[in-house]
Amino acid sequence: MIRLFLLLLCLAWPALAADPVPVAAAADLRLALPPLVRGHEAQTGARFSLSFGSSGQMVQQALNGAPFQLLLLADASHATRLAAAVPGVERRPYALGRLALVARPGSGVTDLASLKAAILAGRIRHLAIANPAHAPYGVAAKAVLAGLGVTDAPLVLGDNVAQALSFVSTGAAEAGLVALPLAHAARGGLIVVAVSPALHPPLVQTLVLMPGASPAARGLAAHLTGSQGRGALAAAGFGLP
Amino acid sequence: MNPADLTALQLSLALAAATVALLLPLALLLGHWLATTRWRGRALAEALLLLPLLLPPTVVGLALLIGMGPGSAIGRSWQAITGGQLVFSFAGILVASVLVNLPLMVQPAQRAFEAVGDDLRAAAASCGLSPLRAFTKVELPLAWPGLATGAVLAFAHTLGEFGVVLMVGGAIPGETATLSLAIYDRVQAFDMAGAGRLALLLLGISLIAITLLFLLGRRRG
Repeated sequence: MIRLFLLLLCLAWPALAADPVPVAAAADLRLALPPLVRGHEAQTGARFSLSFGSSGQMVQQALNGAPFQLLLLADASHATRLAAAVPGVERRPYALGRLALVARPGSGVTDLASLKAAILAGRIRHLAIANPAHAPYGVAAKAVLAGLGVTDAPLVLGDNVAQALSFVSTGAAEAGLVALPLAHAARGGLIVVAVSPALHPPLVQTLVLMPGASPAARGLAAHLTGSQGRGALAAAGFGLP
Repeated sequence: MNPADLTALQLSLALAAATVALLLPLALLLGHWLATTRWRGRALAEALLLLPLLLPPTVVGLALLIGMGPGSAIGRSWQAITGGQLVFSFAGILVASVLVNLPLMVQPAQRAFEAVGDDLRAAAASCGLSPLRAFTKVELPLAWPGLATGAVLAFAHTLGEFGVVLMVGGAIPGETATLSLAIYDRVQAFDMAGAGRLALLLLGISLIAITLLFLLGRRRG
């Protein structure tokens, strides 16, 4: 019994002992952020652990004691909420979120106008977006649909914008309104059309440095908002503030 | 409690009830077969049946999204028969729920049928009972507590089911947005009071439902 306990302890040890700088990031950064952070790690020797999710989820976890030193959120309102609850946080915009229309090749959807026509004709059975209750991209997608005059789209809600995209890439949903930086890298021959940022309230992606953030966390924030970071984010499909 | 809460609660209870209703005959047949077969591949069959418990909901969920989608054979046949789509529907999360809960009901059923013993089955046969009558008159009453335990486990597990429904449901109110999903969405949207209210509701309803199931199982036994 004691041996078994010691064995389990040994197995669990690496998880208990590791101490890279914990960073939380919105799901739209899932593809763009890791190479950026790996490059920064190689330059500085600092180590970071990345957690991805919806912005609401990240803020909720930070408020409940998650040890994140840096949070990269998909809009400004979640940063404001965090700032209201935690005195002494620093906030900075680092990118502008862009939406993309993604569609299955056979769906006949090539732009927003044909999306509207397909929804009205009942040819789109499921339109995937992130859950507007807590994901900024979901709110933006709803705004785009409202602008099109589509009020009763057959929505299916992903927990975050990456899951919404996976609904389309698995073929379960015919089309979706998701983050452009993720859609760029989607496989399976999906049709990807960038949506004009004028069609939704701006997604001012905001980074939050928690009080007492380490120099390494501050260094990563500076790297993201510096010329290298901005260049990489723009190349991934983000707008720049 | 607002109408949205009520819809989510009804959906969760309906999903749990339908899951158990579909699994009961399945667990009866599979459990009985596994308990009595001399087939050499039995251990493999048992291991396969336990797989849904081993695999993370993400794997099961993704497999179901692809396997039940409009491009798949299952998705297409479903559409041909019902006219609707299997993914993102109540039927879709029901399929997922049945799959995930299969081991929870088959395992206790198998153990219960094993406990009946070959001697008793032989005695029933020597008294002139046909296999079917021996099953309904002798084996089923003896194995009933095991089956009831499995049913309670599956019912409770479905009420609390989260991962797979999150993966394949698409959170459509009244169709796939179950109570546990509604609680999660409230928490993410910083509505802690609403989440707490729903959690208490789920706790209360589950406790009552499961107590009733236990009572039902005992009386029948």
